[in-house]
Amino acid sequence: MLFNSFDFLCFLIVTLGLYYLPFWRFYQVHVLVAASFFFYAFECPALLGLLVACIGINAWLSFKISKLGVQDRAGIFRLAVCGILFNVGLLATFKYGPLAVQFLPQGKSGLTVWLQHLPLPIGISFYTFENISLIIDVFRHRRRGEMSFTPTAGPTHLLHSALFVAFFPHLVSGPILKADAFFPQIGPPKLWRNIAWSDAFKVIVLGFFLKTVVADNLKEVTTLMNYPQFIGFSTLTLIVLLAGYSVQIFADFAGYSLIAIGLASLFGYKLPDNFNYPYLSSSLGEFWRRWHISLSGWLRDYLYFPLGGNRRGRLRTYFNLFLVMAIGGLWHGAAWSFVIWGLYHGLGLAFERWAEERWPDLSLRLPRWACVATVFIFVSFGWLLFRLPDFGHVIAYLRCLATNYSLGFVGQKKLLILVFVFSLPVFLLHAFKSMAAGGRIHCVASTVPAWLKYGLLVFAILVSYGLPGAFIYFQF
Amino acid sequence: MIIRSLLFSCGLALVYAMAMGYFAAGIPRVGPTQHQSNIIRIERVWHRAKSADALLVGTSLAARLPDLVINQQIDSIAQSATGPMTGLLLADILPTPPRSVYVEVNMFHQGVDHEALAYFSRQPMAALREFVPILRQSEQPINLLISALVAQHAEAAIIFDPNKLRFGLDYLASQNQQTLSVEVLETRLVDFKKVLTSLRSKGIHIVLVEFPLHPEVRNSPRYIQSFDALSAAFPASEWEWVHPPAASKWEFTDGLHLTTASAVDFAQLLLTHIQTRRTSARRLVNN
Repeated sequence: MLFNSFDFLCFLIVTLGLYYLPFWRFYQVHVLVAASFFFYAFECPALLGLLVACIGINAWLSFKISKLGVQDRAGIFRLAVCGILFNVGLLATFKYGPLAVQFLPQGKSGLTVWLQHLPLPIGISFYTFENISLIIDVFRHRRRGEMSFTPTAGPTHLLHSALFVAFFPHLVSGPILKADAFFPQIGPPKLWRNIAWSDAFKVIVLGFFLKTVVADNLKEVTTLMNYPQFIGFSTLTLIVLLAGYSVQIFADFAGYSLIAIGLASLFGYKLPDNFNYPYLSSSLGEFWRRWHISLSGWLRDYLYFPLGGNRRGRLRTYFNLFLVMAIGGLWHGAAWSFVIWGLYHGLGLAFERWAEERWPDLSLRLPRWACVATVFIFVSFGWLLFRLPDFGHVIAYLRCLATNYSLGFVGQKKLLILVFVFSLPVFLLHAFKSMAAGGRIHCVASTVPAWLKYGLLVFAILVSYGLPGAFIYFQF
Repeated sequence: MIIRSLLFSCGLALVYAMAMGYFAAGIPRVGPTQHQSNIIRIERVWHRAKSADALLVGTSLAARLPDLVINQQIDSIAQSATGPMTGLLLADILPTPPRSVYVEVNMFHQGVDHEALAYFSRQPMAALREFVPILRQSEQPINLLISALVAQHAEAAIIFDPNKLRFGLDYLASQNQQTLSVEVLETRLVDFKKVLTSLRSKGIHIVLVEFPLHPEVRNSPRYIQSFDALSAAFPASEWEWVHPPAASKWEFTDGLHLTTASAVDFAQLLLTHIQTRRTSARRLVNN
């Protein structure tokens, strides 16, 4: 069910109504879990079973860990490893099975056919990482002997785990939640009068604007990046298309995340920010602290730090960066292009770290705008691997970029206008932010009255929406 | 704040609607991209008060027929870069069902544009667009701006260029050497026939139209396979066909698409066919 569909609007109204019914106040979590399962099963009911089973097993394992004595360190460790292996195995089977087929002996063996025909459950990358977060957070609390954030009764823990993983605003495309940040929010009944309507309205309207006006309209232009359509385009056109795609992918995913945050706030839950003006980053490290924050935070906390981070020498730091980014790339999809994308960013991060050590005051000497532009260009080239999953097509695109400079821009004026018009709001948003210190993504120029700003956005949504398309991150 | 924002946006929408009615009524609408042009073309037919005698569905081959020539007798929802199935599925849900559908079959195996289908079928937005024209793609500010800028070029004639034709033929030769897999061809054919049969069962007259192709393309393995399969699935004894006269000298831009002059000639051929059908139908009624 798409957030920008009428089905979803009906679903939301019914769920909100049931959720805040006074006499059901103590069953709010039940209502949300049931609604989330319905939301997930709406398109493909068969995959709900996998989600429920996954929640059940992780809830059981995490509950077991929380009930073991602090002295039983080996037992706690064993269960945590089991949980992690289960989740990684599940993800590997469903998401990377078709990729693994390449390495299996040729021929139509039962396993090969089974792996090739496995469906890709929607949001599996997101909910698997959340389940791992549940296991590791409970494990860490238990090992330190701290009071666990999990409930004492098994059925209650199962219910809370189900809400943590399946809460519909973030279920299919994040933000990826961390158990120790979300569980404490479950508990006290949420009241209708406590809903921050204005804040939710602002976030949702901005999210819909980014998705329906910016991303959906840019999508119409960036389809020209398909192979072999781009072959006849000039270098300038190819650059404009690439910049347009950079804006599109940001608007699409940031739009989704904002809508998810706004929807969750209607039910009294606070989801973490997922984007913080990433195209203002003056270094690649900063970019990863601003882009898909919940994923980079997850990789940092559950992978990079446990691997030793940057505390085990220079070579080990570079290795850790490469490994974490390669896994981060692979998380996006079962294709080599995603691994290369991850390694490309890993290489960039390692080079940046090396350059900082070699010339410590380099970043102070370079103008900030030059650093921001460099990061934007570097990142935009990386998105080519997202847009063109076939690596051969990426090479063809780069070759055209290098050789088609003599071709004119004739006939591409419409394209230039479209990319300019629909990218402008995103660049303005970033420009406002760079002018105003602090604040989150929806805090734009504070001098204009909010009703005027958001009224304009609603008007733009009404008369400039693009043809509705699925969110790009749904495929991950 | 929320109420004020919503009232403000509604006020703006009202002003915009009035401005559109006053200033932009005469601008011929074209989409900024191929896909949006397709949608605007369908919208034009979708929201038309009176439908024409026939509906034309197909791909960019059929979309070449100039609107100015066919407009009075044929409503065209032929769309570039998508197969005729999209048009057929839309024909099934058109507010005013067509009496006859002319189907370009050359590219019957091409895929369906699900976004276009969703745009026209998903309620309540589809119904809302009927009554609130500013919600349509054709009325969007950016589309109007681009329409105003490129209107004079939109109907510019596409002329014959031997170099372009050679380039196109060479490209197509490499593409059309490979035939479709039997499974794919059969699946597409079954789907195609299912939709056509369904439309026919609703009383809509179906005419299958073979558009002219350059001999090098027509005789390529891909097209020989396609047309053989079509002839077997839709025998002339059961289905009405329009074939291009073999002797005609059609001019192509790339081997697939007709030049404007040839497109006008082929449009005349279709118009004559419609006229003949109408006359014979009248005669049948009178008898």
